[in-house]
Amino acid sequence: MNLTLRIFFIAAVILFLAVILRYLSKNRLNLKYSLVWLATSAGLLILAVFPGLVDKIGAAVGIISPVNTVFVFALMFIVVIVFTLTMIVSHTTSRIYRLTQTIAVLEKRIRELEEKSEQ
Amino acid sequence: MNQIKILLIIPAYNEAENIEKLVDRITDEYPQYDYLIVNDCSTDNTEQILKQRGYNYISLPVNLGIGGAVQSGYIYADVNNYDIAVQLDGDGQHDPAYVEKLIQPIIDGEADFTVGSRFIDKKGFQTSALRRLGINIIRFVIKMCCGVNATDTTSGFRASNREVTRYFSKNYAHDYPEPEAIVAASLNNFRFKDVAVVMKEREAGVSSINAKRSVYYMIKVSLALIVCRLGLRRKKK
Repeated sequence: MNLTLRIFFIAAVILFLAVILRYLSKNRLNLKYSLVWLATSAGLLILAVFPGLVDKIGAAVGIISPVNTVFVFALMFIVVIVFTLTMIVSHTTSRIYRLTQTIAVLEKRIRELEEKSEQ
Repeated sequence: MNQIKILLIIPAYNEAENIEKLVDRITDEYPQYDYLIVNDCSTDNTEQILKQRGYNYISLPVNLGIGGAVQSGYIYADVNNYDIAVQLDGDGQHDPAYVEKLIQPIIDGEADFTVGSRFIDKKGFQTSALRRLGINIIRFVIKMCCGVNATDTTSGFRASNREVTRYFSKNYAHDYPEPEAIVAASLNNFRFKDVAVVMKEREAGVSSINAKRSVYYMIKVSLALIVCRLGLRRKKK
């Protein structure tokens, strides 16, 4: 990998890190969910600084072209992330159901109490 | 009979044209039953009607679909200590005259939950052949899953005792809940009974299931039943 490309990758990762930290400080990203992205950017930074690692990992699992090593791992990583997101959405959905139902039952109670107090 | 508290849960989504007729019939002819309308965030003037007429209702702040709406009714029944909760569609298909027949096996202690079936006596509105096929496929899957013979698997006319009501208030499927509820309750060792009823064709409004959705419906329900079976078997061990 030539130097220009490495500098480009390093700059991209640093920009990504900056975005994560900015959203974290603005409270628009949960710390809990940001950990995985912080770890990802750390990993990407290491790979950008030491590109030789990609060849070694590729050789270890038997991938001939280093570019394919990157693609394979990137795809696997994305699948895991998307699945995790689906799990989080499902969990959030059932909590919204419970909250909505509780609100509806409580709202009825308030209505009844108000009617009683008016009498 | 008088000391038993019975709640009719009526899920309503855009049922402005049907709801008054049904509720007035219940309050006039069957005053022994309490009722609760669950307004599932209707976009028409259903809520306005409920408010103006002083009906007993709860109103969901966001639309949850039939499963979430009915479950709110079960939560309400559980919180208010009802002995029997009856689920009854708000579209005029289910005649409150059959509630008595539906709850009789529960009062007699023969069953924990009952489902009203239009296919036992084969009277009244029998729905289209295609839907009957779908209902029969689900019936077969349910029989395979838990050995229960429910003839009208998608019927939303059902009754449950206090324990089943409590169970439903905690666990109820979200989008096409009727067949899943039969399987889940059966696998939790609640006793099921099919009860013959006569249903009418809906009077106004549109059914929640159209042709496009029916394929999705069949796949989703079959999958849900199998998953339900796997999950509950594991729990029992």
